[in-house]
Amino acid sequence: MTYLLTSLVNGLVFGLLLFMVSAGLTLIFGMMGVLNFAHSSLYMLGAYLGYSIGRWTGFWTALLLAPLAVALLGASIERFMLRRVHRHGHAQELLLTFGLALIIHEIVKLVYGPYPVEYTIPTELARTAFNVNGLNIPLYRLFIGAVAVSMFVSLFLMMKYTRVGLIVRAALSQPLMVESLGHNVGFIFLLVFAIGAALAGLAGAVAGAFYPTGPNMAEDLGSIVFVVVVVGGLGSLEGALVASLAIGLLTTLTVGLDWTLAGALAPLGLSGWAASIGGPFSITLSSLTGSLPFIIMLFVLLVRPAGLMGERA
Amino acid sequence: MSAISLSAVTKRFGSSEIIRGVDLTVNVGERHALIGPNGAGKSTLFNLISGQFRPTSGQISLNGRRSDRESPETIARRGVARSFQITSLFARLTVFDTVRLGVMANHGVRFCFWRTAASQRAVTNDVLALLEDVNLLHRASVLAGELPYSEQRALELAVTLALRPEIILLDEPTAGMSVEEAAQTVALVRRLTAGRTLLVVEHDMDVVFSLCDRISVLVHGQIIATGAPDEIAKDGRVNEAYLGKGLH
Amino acid sequence: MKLYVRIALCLATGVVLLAPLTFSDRYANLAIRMLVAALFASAFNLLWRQARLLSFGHGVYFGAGMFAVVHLMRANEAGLNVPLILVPLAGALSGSIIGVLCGFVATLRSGAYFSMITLAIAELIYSLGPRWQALFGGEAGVSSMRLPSMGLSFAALNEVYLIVLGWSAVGFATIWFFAKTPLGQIAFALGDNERRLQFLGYRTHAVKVYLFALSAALSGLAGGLLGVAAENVDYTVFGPASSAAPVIQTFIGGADVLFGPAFGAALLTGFGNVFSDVTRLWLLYQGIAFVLVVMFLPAGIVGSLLMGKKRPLREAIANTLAVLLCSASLIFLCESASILLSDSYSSLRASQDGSWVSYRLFNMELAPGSPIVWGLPLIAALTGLIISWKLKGREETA
Ligand SMILES: Nc1ncnc2c1ncn2[C@@H]1O[C@H](COP(=O)(O)OP(=O)(O)OP(=O)(O)O)[C@@H](O)[C@H]1O
Ligand SMILES: [Mg+2]
Repeated sequence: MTYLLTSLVNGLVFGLLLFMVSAGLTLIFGMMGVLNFAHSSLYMLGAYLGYSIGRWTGFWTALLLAPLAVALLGASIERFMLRRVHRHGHAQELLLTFGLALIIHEIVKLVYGPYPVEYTIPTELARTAFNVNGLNIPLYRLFIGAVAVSMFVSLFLMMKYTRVGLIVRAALSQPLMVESLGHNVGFIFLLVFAIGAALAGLAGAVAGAFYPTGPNMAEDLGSIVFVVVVVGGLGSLEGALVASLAIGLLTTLTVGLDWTLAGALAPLGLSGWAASIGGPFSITLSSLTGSLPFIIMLFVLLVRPAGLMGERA
Repeated sequence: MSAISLSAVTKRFGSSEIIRGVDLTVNVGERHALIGPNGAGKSTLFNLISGQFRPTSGQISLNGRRSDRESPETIARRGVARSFQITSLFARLTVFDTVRLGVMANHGVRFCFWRTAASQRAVTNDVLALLEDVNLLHRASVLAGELPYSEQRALELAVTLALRPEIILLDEPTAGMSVEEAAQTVALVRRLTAGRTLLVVEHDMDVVFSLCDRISVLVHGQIIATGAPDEIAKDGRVNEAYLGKGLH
Repeated sequence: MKLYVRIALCLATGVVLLAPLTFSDRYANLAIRMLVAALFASAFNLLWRQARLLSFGHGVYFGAGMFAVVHLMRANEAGLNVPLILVPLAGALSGSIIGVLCGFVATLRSGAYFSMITLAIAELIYSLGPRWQALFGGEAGVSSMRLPSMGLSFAALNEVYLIVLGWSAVGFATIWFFAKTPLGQIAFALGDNERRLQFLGYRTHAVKVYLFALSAALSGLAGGLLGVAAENVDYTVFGPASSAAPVIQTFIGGADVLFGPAFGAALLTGFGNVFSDVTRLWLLYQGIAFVLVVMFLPAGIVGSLLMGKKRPLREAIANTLAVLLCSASLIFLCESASILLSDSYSSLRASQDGSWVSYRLFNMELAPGSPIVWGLPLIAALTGLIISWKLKGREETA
């Protein structure tokens, strides 16, 4: 019971973190058709900048400044790089962001070294929020969750009630139509890219203090975030939320389960045979945690190629 | 048995119903024109027949076999070929290679990787003959993407006809052509569709009246009249709804 | 081209390709790695050049080939008697089997989705790697020994090079020939306009699976060749780096030219081998070069050389000068930063009361506080930028 509760909270928070990063990615992808390979690198930069700035200004100011800096970087990437290759098509844009991800990875290693830095939780949040059955829920986990939820709410309100939201929504369904609106589309693209980058940066600055901030954090999260976008469906915020939570929960809930395929065959009396084969039969579910998101994705693709919330062609 | 038969077909995009209950029968060997004002749903109807879209409700049969759940590939393999109103070609292929794709499909050459495409005599001969027909022989080695518009239209037609289909759907084959080019194209279509079933969308009434055996008029997603050309010309509703004073 | 130019070119190519037979192990090894990378990148590019599918997970098929070959060589040690020259085929076989399975799923979607799925499949295999001890050998990997075969000992790598050269030739010939076959033509058309192809009655998903399988088979062959040479392999071959390599090499070389990927792969593997001994920052430079090529030479190096318009000699020289100035100052700044930000430098500073002590770079003693150290490279970079800006202006007025 206690185990289930911890897992639930951890999974929920991890899912919300996934959502914070994938929201920006799916926003950019849905609107501009650009798959931003460097998105999780921007998340990593958010964490590192939060750490660096925080050493001068303290945690809270850094939490504000780091996403702003990442947004500025995102805007310049859009304005000076992506726009240049736009006429060569989406694949060229994808390649460009892929190259940027490589460069950012190397620069982070150059500046901060190959090991994680000591980006820590501010003392006022380093407490236990509450205690259930002798189990401590850290306050910071709730903080991450709160940031993510308020992000979802403000994005949702923005999409629903403002002009930007109107155009973004129109662009999700009719990109050509919005393109033909003329001159302001360029600026909207810039804005969307900057907002997407800021969201990634904020996620990094918040989560970096809790999870390790190291040069591999972009790579580790990046592919899972792609999974979220594929599973959730193209450009769908709700889809991204559902997929993030599902993957977050599933991966944490399975951490403690030592089920194996061989064990599952026990009712058929085959467990001994399967265990003797070893290999995939004796891998425990808990050790598959890292692989689980990808297995889920392949499954969803086969059953529902457009993703959970995607439009069917 | 009819070549194409639609019964009570509807198609919705979101909340707007574009095709609103169409019944249409095209007989085997008939040349049938589909006319109607812009936005009436003619191309959408083509997309439904050729398998690009699935109807929201209703049934479509081709040569007596239900087809509205089939993929475009399957429908094409049943001998149905279509051209596109908005030219849809292969930018990196030459004129020759483009037509060869159609001819290879017709010869059943698909997953062949042990011999070169150029070594297939029968295919090459068919391609050359077809290029001659559409007056593109001298352009054989030009990239499809670099042709002028009217020649792209001719190429579009050539690929479609290369399949030697039993049922041919042509969406505005003469749009954007000069008067002579259009006349040539019509003559070509007449010759190459002899004995086959043709359903054609066309805005030029002279072409429609001289080429087709029967005409259906589609207005706002519904067929308001079907009949021989002189019947249609006399039909009051048609004149009112669509033809207006444009008819002689 | 004149006949004697062709003959000279063929002879030169022949000499270059056969020279490694006389090399010592270190350089024969480099030659093998260059050829293997060239074949791998070309195999990867089958998907992009024809069908416009961009795979970010080709390391899987390469790795599958390597593992298959190393396991087969172990079986040889245990008494199975497959001649070494046929061993790389096991790589092609396992690559194609995994390729059919993964390709079937990945090609359900196109565009960016395809890229994400291939990436995720690679991550899946990579995450399983350390768990499946019997197959992947855990952290230590799997090792084997080449046994003598057909009168050759295959102890030295220049003998192995012969096998690598032969099979690479087969691989390249396959890629060249495939483009001319009906299926190759269909794959080409698929990259342009999949919808239209469907309306001609072609099952495009099947076409994509075939193409993917061929690409994976040749990647597996490349991996197999490396397996024969390296005699061991561990699961990190499935990691992101091996999947990224053919992407980078292909687009730097030129993706729409038949031998562009091979050129890019040989070039970067060669440079990488030389420079990774000299600098820690080789990957950074490679990434920067990649981004610059994507932005300014979308046709890649070979593509631009072949298609680019002829420039007057003076402009070509000026352009080269600009590029050299900019890259020299960039390299200088990056290397300086790498030293000044290192732990050893900060502990040195700490021992000197935090003063900015001088550092050594390119055999020079440099003082971080001196304006010349930073001013000179900046001026060089600016000069380079101004030159290229002027050249561009001239191009536009011309
Ligand atoms: N995929 C789609 N999604 C939404 N609406 C569509 C789609 N395809 C067509 N429509 C709408 O259906 C209506 C009919 O379009 P269609 O192209 O079938 O007309 P048409 O009769 O061929 O006109 P034209 O003579 O201009 O070619 C148009 O209002 C169009 O906007
Ligand atoms: Mg139309």
